[in-house]
Amino acid sequence: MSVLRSLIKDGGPIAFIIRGTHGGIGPWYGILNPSTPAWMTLGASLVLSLIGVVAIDTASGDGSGLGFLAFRQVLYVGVGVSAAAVAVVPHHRLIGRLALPAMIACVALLVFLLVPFVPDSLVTPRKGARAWIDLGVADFQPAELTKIAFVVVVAMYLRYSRAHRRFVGLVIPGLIAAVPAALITLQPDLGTASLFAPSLFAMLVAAGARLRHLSIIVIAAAAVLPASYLVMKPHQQARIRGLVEQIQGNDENADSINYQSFVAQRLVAAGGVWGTGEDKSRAIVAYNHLPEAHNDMVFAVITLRWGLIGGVVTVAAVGAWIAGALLTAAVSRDPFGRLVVVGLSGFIAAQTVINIGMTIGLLPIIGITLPFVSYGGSSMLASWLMTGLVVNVGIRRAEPPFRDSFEYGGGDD
Amino acid sequence: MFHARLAILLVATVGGLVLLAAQATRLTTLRHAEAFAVAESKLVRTTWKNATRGRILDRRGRVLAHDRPGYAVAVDYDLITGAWSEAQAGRAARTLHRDDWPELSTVQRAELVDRYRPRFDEHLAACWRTIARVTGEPIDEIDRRRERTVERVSGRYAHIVDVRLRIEIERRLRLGQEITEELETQLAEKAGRPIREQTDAHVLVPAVSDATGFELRRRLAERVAVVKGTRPVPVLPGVSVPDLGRREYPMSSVEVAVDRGSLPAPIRSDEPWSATVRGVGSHLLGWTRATLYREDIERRAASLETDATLAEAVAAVGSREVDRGRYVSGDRIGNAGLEASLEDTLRGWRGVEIERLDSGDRSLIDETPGRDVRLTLDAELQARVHALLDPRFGLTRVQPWHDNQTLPVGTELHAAAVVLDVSTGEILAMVSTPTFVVDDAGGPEPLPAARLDDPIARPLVNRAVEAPYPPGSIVKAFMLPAAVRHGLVDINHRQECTGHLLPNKPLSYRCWIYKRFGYRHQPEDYRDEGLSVDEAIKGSCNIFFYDLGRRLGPELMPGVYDAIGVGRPWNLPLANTFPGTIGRPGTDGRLEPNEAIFLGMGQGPVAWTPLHAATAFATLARGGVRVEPRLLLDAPRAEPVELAWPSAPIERSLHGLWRVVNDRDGTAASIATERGREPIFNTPGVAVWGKTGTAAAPPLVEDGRVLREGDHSWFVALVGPGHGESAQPTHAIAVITEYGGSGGRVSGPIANQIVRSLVATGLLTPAPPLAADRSTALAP
Repeated sequence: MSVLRSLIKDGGPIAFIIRGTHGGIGPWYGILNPSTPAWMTLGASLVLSLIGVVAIDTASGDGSGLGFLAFRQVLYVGVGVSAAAVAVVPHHRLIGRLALPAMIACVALLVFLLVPFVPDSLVTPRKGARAWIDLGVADFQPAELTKIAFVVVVAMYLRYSRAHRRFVGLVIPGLIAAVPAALITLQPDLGTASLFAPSLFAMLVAAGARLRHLSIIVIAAAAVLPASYLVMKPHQQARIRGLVEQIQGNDENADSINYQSFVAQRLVAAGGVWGTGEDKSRAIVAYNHLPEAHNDMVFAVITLRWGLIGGVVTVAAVGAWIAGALLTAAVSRDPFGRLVVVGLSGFIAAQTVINIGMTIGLLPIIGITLPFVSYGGSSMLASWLMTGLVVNVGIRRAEPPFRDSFEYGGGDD
Repeated sequence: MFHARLAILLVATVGGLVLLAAQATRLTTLRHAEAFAVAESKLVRTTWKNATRGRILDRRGRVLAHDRPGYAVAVDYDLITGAWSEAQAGRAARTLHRDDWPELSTVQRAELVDRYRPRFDEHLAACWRTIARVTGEPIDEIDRRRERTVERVSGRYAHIVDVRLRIEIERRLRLGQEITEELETQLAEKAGRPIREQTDAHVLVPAVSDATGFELRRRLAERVAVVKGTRPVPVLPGVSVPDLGRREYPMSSVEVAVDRGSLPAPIRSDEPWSATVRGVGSHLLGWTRATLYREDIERRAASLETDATLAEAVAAVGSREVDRGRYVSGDRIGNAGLEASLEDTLRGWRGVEIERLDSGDRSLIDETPGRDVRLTLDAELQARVHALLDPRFGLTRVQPWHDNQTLPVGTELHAAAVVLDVSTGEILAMVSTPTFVVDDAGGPEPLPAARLDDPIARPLVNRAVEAPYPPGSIVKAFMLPAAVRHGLVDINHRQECTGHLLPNKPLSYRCWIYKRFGYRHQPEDYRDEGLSVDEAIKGSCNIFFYDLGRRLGPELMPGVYDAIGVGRPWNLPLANTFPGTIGRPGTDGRLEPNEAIFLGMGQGPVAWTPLHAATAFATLARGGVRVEPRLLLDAPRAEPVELAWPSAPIERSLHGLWRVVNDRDGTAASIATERGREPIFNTPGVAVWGKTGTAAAPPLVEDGRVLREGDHSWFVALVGPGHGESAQPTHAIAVITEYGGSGGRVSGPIANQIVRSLVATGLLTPAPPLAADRSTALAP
């Protein structure tokens, strides 16, 4: 008993982990804030994970009990939830201290993936991309964890900084994003790489960077974007052309470069408002041969089975996650926590918009998962860790001394 | 400020999500129905089964064309071209040198491939030898067919790539795009994608026995390693032995025995002539092919759009969307003749097995064989007439008594004949020689060994309906009825044969008898008023009909020819038929006065076919009632058309036709051979009316070289059972012999033999002999 008591007493190790400091006023559990809006993210994560498991079963199972992939997805959800629970415990201040080493480790892993003589048994190329490390029981995708490390590092950098208020001050955050994004692009995994910019922008916006600076960057990028078409690989160019053709209503490539997109949109549309129900949706998914139905294209399966209602519920759940996270940031008074939450929201929002956008024909096809929903362990783990971090921030009241963060007064942006 | 920034982020995110929801709403509402239908259609697997093609029968139900099962040997195109060896050698090189392969330069790789290539070439050569040995085809023949296939496919490929590129460039130009060099290269690359024939298998040996088929099928599974350490390849790579079925034409090649006792004396014999005639009816029947072209699918779709009867039939057995008559690769498709024009009737309805993939439910609709088609032809008569036109028989070979001015004795003549039933217009026989046989591969092979494009023989042309000929004197029979109808003359009109029409121009508008012998036609009673119409027809006086032509003039003459069918398209299931023309090109049928004069005796700017001639004479025999000729026994009949010709001049013209044959001095009464004079027509109990035509024809010229020149020889006859003029004509016969010369001497004896064939086949029953046999009365 006394051992236990010594563990949980103020100033003890548990208090230190929870509180992130040896000092503090009052009992350590006094900082806990059980009525945080962060619970919204948890609820949304659970709803999305549930939708994902059933949709994956629809796309790959045979209707008799939970299918193999859906069963594995349940395990992944379990792993994700456990990881999230662990991530809630230590004060984010402690996590922040780990950020730089974690980021360095992640970058090292990303470099490792690209080393040419690493045997295929360890880094198995899938669909031409060297993105996975074979861990025996499961494959692990370092890029997913890099996203979190990246957010934490940038948050650490920006929390007390004023440098980003100047244009040149944006260079360092930009470089922090550019390194992992470049490495991931080389895998090649353009989809994941493209998420870093929105996340960084979200954090910069929240951290008070001048909007005109950010606008200049956005406008410059938009101006340069068409030129990037010239340096793209042929298959990437084909996807862009495919999207343009689709928007023009030209369906002559519906069997070739636009096949995946056409089938995905067909299945989304086939669901109608109310969906086609379990048996029919299983059959339609199976015989329409939608590539990546359980994975990148899972949103098509959701609307096919539950119709527009299911689609809207899914989108709304993501909205709830982001709203919960942003509210958490709003309520929190800790600058580091705020930025972490905003940066994670940036990833979730960008990933959702791009994934669903490509499924319903608004964006070119690019390999990217729908967070919490798509099949895959690394993606699930990363998503749930994000939820864990948001809860981590939300559940703690900031302790005095308070210091206003990112309040630069009106009119100067 | 921080909270304002969060609000910005929230608004941006919500904006993005709302956009997603909006697009999802658009898809699930506006595009739902169409997308759901497409998505559901994928749950259904449809397997089509072939239907047997309908038969083509003659008027008595004898089979002219039918399907039967049969194996063929087909080979993938990359083996035929040898590209297979290259690919295999490449694969072998990569397998055997897989460790160093990534480091090798392009040149080194090519060297390795070249090292293995000869072994695969040798394997392929062995494959051809095996096919040759098992099928019994000479290896040279196999090689020749491979070359021909490559030639055909590469020619077609070049053409299609060209067309694709043109269409795409035109499309882009229409869209207002600029065609840069770069874009053109891009488009050319896209247009260069392989055509179906380059990925399909091609039939190398079209028909093999069942035993050979089984033997080859057994060997298909055998494999051998060509290069040690590589995967074994089939002994017969890319070879398949499909059951393509075969289209057979059982009456195409038949044994015919023809009596020679009634032939002109020089070739007369007591022994019947018996021979195998080949290619019987092939002009009419056509042929099929087993290669599917995009045009077939498009034609079917177009027919469904335009042909309400077909669309109804399709809907009755399936649905508009599921056309059970649809084409799939490997189909046998009518390519020419009736096989092509009756395609939609003959092809029948496919069986279809529809499997619901989700529930496993199957439904099966059995195939329905294509409908049989009965022709008006009499196969036996067709074969006999075919034999009569066979040069070996003697009538279509220049004979001394022909007095041919341009061709040496013994030259083969090309001819056509049509036999019509007068009362119904049914075509009993339609023969054109030379012809072709449909070979085992399903294509036409010329007969005898002429070329298909031989400019003189033109074996693919059905001369009876496709080739334009000047009508010549045979139209003289129609001029009096036309002139009387228009009130220009009465039936007792007489005209003196002055030798030449215009008194002061002795070298133009001459009578043939004046031109040839310096004579003039004399009326029998030497009256001064000149010849009556029957005398003019009997002697084929040109002056009489020049005069009628002049009276009818350029205004009325087109109507005369229109009445006898010139310029009216045939309602026959035959492609390329010639409807006949009048007037020089570019004049819209308007005539000059001098042309009208010539047209009075069938020369000048006019052309028609033997079918026109037979149909026009049948019209005369019916007293001026036109009946469309028919080839399909069960097709609906067109209403007969009564021409406004008065009956009296028709009878006078018929009387003239009677005298042509039956008067001692008629132009078709007799021929003089080295053995003496003999009547042309000699079938007891059969009355014959007829008209000769020795039609001046344009020379046949190719590359400035005159291949044939002279006159075409016409004979048109009306025949019926009976002994005298009171008999009724029951059959019309038209015969033309190209550049044969005299109508009476050359085509007359052929017409006589056709009459005998009508009797021999039971289509014409001669009247019983009178007390005193009249047939000898005509003998000299």
